[in-house]
Amino acid sequence: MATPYSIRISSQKGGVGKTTFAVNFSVALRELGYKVILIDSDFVNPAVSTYLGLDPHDIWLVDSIHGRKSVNESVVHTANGIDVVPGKLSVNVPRLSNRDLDAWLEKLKRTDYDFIVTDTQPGIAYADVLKFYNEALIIVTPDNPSCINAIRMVNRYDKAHLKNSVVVNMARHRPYELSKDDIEDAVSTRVLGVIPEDELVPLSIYEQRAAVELKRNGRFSSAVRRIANHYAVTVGGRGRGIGIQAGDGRGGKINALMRILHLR
Amino acid sequence: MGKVPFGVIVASHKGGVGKTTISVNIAVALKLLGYNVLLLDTDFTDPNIGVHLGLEDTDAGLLALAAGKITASRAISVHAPTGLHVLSCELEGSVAIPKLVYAVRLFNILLRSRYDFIVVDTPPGSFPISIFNKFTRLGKMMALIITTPDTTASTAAIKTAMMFDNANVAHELVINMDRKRRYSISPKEIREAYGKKAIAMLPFDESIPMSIGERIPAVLLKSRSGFSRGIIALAKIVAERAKAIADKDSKTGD
Ligand SMILES: Nc1ncnc2c1ncn2[C@@H]1O[C@H](COP(=O)(O)OP(=O)(O)OP(=O)(O)O)[C@@H](O)[C@H]1O
Ligand SMILES: Nc1ncnc2c1ncn2[C@@H]1O[C@H](COP(=O)(O)OP(=O)(O)OP(=O)(O)O)[C@@H](O)[C@H]1O
Ligand SMILES: [Mg+2]
Ligand SMILES: [Mg+2]
Repeated sequence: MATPYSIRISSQKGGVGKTTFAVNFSVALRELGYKVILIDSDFVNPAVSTYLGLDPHDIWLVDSIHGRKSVNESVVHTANGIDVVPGKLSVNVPRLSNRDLDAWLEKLKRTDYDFIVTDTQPGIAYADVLKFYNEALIIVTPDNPSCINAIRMVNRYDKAHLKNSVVVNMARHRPYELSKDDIEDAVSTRVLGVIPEDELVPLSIYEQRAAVELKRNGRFSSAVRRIANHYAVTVGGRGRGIGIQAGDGRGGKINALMRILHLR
Repeated sequence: MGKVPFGVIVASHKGGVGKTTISVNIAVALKLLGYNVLLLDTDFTDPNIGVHLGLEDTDAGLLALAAGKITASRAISVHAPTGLHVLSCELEGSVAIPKLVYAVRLFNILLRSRYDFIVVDTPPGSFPISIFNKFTRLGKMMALIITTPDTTASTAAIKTAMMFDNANVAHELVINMDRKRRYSISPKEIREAYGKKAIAMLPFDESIPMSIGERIPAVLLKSRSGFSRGIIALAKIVAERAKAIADKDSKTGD
């Protein structure tokens, strides 16, 4: 059987929308028919369970890694249909041994998920585990500090031979913002999509629901779904194939139209 | 005993809440109030202050100073429009976090410097507060915990507060990017969670991203905006706090 496709959602700069994207992207992939697991490996400020309003829980990612638990024992099944391994809110940041981490990630790689989406804290906390990912997405906002930081992150991924792409978030199309082309030139990696700033996001966090589910056709939701579609088309075949169908069924014209609208 | 600089640490566990923006603007505001100010960027992997102020990347900065390779005057850059002093990490080798002994040496140098204020920008998350031990023992330090009015940032802020409590550092809460939305966490709720009222409430302000794009701090670019007025008021509170501590020290005498 095919192994899961593992995507690291990352940024060098904090607060650019990693968790927001990771949650909504996972749900969007799920809606395309894939089996998705979302891992909250932000050891500083885990937020996935708050964003999704998950019930209190007794096995967290760190416990699972330390206690060498199985992936199955550690997941929370959510109403959205995705599985989540939540991160533990604690004052002290845990230190994990590379051996425990490796062992756990090996187990994860042997599950039957189509996609493993990993939310992370800013930066690269455990450079050694980069080898477990098929790809890293770098979330940026269209401003200098965020993009300059992204350049450094691209370099680190390139050194680790990890495929990487950029997603622009919170675009407001202001004159002082960097454009998609500016960013693509600066970071010299592909920009997969541009997600607009949307009031729906803070509202969805407040409501503790995924934005893509709260308002399916909002500007934010469409932009995230377009990126999920991209994965359905490019790597979806690795999984059970339902995704390709669902993606194509809904895609086609609408996708093309959205692409045109997006370019304005 | 000579005068010791007053440290203002700007911190939060949550990323992107405005630490760097607020550090830069408070430092400039204190400078405009006539103080001698050093702005210190302790984001070793991603120094951002230079980008905000339009300073050139340095190849001899904080790391070289901490390693004892260069003098402070060589390591520090000057922001020409204001005369603010800035110490950031060099980009080369910035991936390597400096050793604790380096940090301690750095703070020994800074403690002997002639600044009135050292404003310290930090990366998101916890950091080894022990590097500030000397400042802490002298009581010459306060932390500003930055949050935005939403659940994750506020929860993170409580964590940051616990971290400072454990280290015996006095702290105050600053709410940033307030947009008065129906689903924003109210100041009252935040106060109940944090235990006291926020020291400042800074509005969401369109001119902030613009000022970052222009590389001119908002307090200079739009000195009358709600954000800038909030920052200047905050700088005054910080200055008063520092003065109160200094007065108390001189009374108890050495
Ligand atoms: N497209 C968007 N439109 C409007 N607001 C957004 C958007 N994306 C994210 N946000 C807001 O930005 C804030 C930060 O988002 P998020 O927590 O996802 O960032 P993060 O990168 O995970 O942060 P951290 O570095 O702390 O993990 C949230 O309050 C969220 O509401
Ligand atoms: N009061 C405000 N109004 C509008 N935008 C703001 C405000 N404060 C900060 N911002 C915007 O928020 C973004 C993040 O700010 P900043 O870089 O200062 O956060 P930070 O906490 O230092 O981030 P990091 O965790 O990555 O160090 C910036 O792009 C800035 O434009
Ligand atoms: Mg996050
Ligand atoms: Mg910063």
